[in-house]
Amino acid sequence: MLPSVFATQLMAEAGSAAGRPGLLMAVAVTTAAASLWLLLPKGLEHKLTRPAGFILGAVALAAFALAGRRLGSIGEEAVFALVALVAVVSATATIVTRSPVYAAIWFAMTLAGVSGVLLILGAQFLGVATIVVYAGAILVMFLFVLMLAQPSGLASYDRVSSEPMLSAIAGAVLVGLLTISIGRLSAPVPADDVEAAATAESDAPADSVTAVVPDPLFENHVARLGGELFGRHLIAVEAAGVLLFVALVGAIAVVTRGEAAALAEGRPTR
Amino acid sequence: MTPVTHPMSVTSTSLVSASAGLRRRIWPAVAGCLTAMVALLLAVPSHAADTAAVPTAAVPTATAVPSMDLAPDGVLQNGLLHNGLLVGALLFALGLVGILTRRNMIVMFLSAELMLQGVSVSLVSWSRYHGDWGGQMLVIFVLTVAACEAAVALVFVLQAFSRTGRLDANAWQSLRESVLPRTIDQALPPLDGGVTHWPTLTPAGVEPAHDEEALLEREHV
Repeated sequence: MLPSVFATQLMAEAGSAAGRPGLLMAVAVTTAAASLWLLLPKGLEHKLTRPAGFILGAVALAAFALAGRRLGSIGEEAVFALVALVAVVSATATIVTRSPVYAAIWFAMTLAGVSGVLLILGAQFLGVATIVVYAGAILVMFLFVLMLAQPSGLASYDRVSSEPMLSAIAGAVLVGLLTISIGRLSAPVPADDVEAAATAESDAPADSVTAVVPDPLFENHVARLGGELFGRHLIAVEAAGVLLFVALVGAIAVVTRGEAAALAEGRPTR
Repeated sequence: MTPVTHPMSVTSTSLVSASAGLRRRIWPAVAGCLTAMVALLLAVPSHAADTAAVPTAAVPTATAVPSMDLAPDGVLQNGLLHNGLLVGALLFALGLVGILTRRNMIVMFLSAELMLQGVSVSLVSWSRYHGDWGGQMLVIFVLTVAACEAAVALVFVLQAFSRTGRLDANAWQSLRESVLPRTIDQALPPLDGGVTHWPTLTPAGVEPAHDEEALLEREHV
């Protein structure tokens, strides 16, 4: 089996930090596509389809994790890996789950992971706002619509998906192209050279080299964010308010006009 | 407008598939695409080795970071940027796959929100890297637009549902281009029954007798 051969080679090369990043990403992309294709609902499933999908997905996740860069400390890396794992795994579960209610719940889990990533990246306000706005408002609205519209039981269109293999390959190709450009964005710095380079570039004393660099946006974060938002981006805030208002009016208009049209055509309304 | 098939007339078992001709035309392209992808990925180390061969050699390496008004570390924030962009790319691609392949309109919109989440993670990574507020401001407006989009989209989903009785995007395939083949419904095996069993509460005790008159008299609870 080709992916397993790749995986053993990957394990052999995992020791060297530089290794073959291209091979690693090729393994990750291929196994991710295969795993998605196996996991997506296709209607006709063998008993071993989902376990195979889980195994291939784990291989893909390990490859993507190995492709990640080193962060400051092992604790920071562990926390980032945890929240990123939560985000990506629940995102996968969102799109492969048959039941849309479970998909919505998995999406809430994704939001938790994403807000963790945002918190690590230093966006405190956005991490909280993601939970409050998305999980608190938008997701509940989705669930309301599901309760209104979902027929009892699992619908047939939830059990099959249109062209799962083509879609998985499209997603894998997109991820591959994006990772190529991300990898070219910054040349990898070997772990040995980090300290030497940092001491050479900055005239800081040697004890401050290994310390985690403070986020320049950390001090008075929310106050400065509010100042920026209502200072430099005030016009955009006004435009966003208009957009919200128009969306509100439009939603109500579409509903009422739809009801009126349904009455005129003699169709049953809710 | 073309009358849409009534929900009752649609068999409960349906399977979407493109026509065989379309499939035959697509597969060579798909195979070539994936092969080119893997070949390109395998060629990455050579590109990274000699950046002189790459015409776009203006790669912002770690040493380029201190030229911006930033803390002169480069490496740590570069790692955060790389990992954040990777997570964002994964989320975006997963959302793309979901919106391409799922048929339930609500799951499709969840996938769209997933793509927005990926974009948000990427924007905040850039904001952290550059040390300015631009990315975070954009994410705030992404949140706003996502709220508007969800409201309007859910109204459309509800309207579509009230017309067809299904949340199926393929119920609207009469809107497709006239040259495209019609989606063919095929038989689907019966459900194994593991999913549709919802939990029920066991009855506890005896239901007390209701005093109907007292219930009617209670106007203010």
